Amino acid sequence: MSTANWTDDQPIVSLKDVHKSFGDFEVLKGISFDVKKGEVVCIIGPSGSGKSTLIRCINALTEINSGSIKVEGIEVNDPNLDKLELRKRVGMVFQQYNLFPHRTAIQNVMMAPVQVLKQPKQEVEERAYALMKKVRLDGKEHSYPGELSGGQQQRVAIARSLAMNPQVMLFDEVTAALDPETVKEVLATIKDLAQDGMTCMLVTHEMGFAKEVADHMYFTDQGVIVEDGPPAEFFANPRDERTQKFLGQII
Amino acid sequence: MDIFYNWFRELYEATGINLPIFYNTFDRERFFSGLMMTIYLSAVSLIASVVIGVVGAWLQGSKLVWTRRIVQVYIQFFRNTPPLVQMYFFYFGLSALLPTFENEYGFQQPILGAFAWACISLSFFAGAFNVEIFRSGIEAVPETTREAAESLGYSRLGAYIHVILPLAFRVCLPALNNNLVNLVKTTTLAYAIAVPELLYVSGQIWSDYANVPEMMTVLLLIYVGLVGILVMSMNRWERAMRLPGYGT
Amino acid sequence: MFKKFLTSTVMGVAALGVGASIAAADVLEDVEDRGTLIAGVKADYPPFGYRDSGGDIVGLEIDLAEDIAERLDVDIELVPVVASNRMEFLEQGKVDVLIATMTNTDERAKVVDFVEPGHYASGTNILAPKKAGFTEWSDLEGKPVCGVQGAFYNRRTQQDYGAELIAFKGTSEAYTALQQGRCLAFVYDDAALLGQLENEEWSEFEMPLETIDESPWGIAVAKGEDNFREMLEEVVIDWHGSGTILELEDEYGINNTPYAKRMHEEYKSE
Repeated sequence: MSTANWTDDQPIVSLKDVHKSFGDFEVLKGISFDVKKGEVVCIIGPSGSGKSTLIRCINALTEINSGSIKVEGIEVNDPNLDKLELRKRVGMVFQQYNLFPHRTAIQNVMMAPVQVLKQPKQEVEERAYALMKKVRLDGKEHSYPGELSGGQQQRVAIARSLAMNPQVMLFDEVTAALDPETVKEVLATIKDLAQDGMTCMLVTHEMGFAKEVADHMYFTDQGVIVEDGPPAEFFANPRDERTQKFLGQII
Repeated sequence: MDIFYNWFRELYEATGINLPIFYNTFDRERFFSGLMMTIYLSAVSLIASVVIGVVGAWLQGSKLVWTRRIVQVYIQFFRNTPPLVQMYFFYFGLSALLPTFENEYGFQQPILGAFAWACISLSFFAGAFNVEIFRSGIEAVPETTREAAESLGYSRLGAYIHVILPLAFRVCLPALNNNLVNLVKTTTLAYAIAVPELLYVSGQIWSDYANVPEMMTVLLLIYVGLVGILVMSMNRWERAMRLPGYGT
Repeated sequence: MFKKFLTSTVMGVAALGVGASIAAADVLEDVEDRGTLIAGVKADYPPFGYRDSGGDIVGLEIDLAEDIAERLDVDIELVPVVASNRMEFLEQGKVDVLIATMTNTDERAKVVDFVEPGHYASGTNILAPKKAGFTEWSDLEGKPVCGVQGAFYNRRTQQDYGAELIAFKGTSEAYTALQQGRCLAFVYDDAALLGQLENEEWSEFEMPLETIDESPWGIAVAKGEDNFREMLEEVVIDWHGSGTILELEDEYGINNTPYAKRMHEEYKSE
């Protein structure tokens, strides 16, 4: 494992020529890009363009067929990958929140650090309360997921990921399933995170938000990155025809 | 207490309703020990069958084809054969192939007795159904929940124990409930291999007194009570496990 | 109307029955005319009535039947019967007499006439490995003993002798359990146990205790055959008195039963 050689002036996430097929259908046709530490990256594109698959590959929920993905120097496409080492570094938030419904909000946040990382419960508890406060849910610690709104659940999910002290956070269309009113509170939480210097990769349809928080934009279509650039330039002067068409439809 | 016991003797003399399990010390003791044996047999098989169900359902999700096949063979074998035949098979057939030990009287005795074989047979029988029940519960847990656990660093086993199983349990409690009720009723089969449980001792008593109707009634009421207690505690458990805003 | 019809019919049938038995009440003469005594016997109950290697029916009770024929100076014809049909054989006149390990009970005495005293008796005993060295019922205390569910002596085995009874549904299970070492003895009908002991597989076993709960077997004749019955009563008393039963027991390898000994004591003076 090459983590020892990794220094934080190197890309924290590095993709090289990543290919992924489901059966005969090639979803990712050679994706390469780097994410620097502290960078906020947004991936946009039409549905079915492979952006969710891409983000799932980074924490090994989906195996890739060829190419290389490195997170802090750890090669994800390695049959002997220590998944725990990877997942300690990469947090992930899903579209459907995926909280554990049989545990209260605070328990959801505490579970993995205690059960997986075997950290002392007391210490984890303090951190969990702080995280609940950070996602502006203090007071809801002992509610069950079923008693929370979608937006609240999603913020608990973010806190739950953060409890593992990850280096990179992946957000997979985290506002897509939410009511418009609650979208804002989730986005505010992510923005806080970004401002604190967390490396974030987001798959999103919230163009306004992307414009506001992203350091770099990627547009994917049919398994390739069609265009990328800093948001100011990306939104103002899209070069590729497909980008133009997509942005035209969505904004 | 003696007044209570004597009341049954008087009842017999007055009405012909003969319940020696109250007024005769010998019969009272053997009936009580039969009741205890039924409870003990039920409790052991109940717990063991749930453990078998949990472990079996886990193995059924294994990546290894042979592990899955073995579990499948186990389920088919125990689900598709009558438990009475299984019990005879274990007690008289299989146990003859197993080693023996020298008992206190200097004779070779099979290592496992009737009670042990009854527990094994009943647990594996009910366990086979429990595997299927748990599997259906596990299938009801969304794949995305498992992924969430996985992305938090849980191993497959860790996710199973801490996330999947507690959720699957809630889904399959009603089916589990049914199967466990059946198990308690099936313990009466142990009578065939001479485990002195409730039906066995009742049989002894009614062959001595020819009081079949009375004993049948008592037996029936006791099973209603035993199953009632089980169902009540399962329902209470089910309510306690119910999650606000989750499932139905 | 119907009730009246029923009553008269039942009475008619009853009258017919009485008539029939009166008409046939001369079986002894029939036997002498025929020159053959037809006896219903067991063919599956060693050593009392069973088939030898040549297929012939032999046994203790067969010897007794032959003795009766000899005393009547006629030939003997043996008809194998089983418990469930033997009384019908007698009622329908297919056999003249039953000597078929048949216990004398009040229920049966309503259907057939028993010769008294009984020629033999069975009771409760145990089958146990010789190695166990049981000599008295009290030796069973605290020991695992196999039995058959529903047998009336199970309670006594537990309550009076303190055995740990392991009762199975049928005899096959109990025999198997005894052979597998799940119990040290099998408490059952001594006559049936005697039969098992004839088998090679039980050569290491014995029936060591004194038989208890003994109940006499009876030779049976059809209802109303008083002449024949009275003749047979003298024969049975003679068997007991002369020691024939005890000798036959010796011949068939049976320990002399208390019943046979007692009967011998009682009738030997005559």
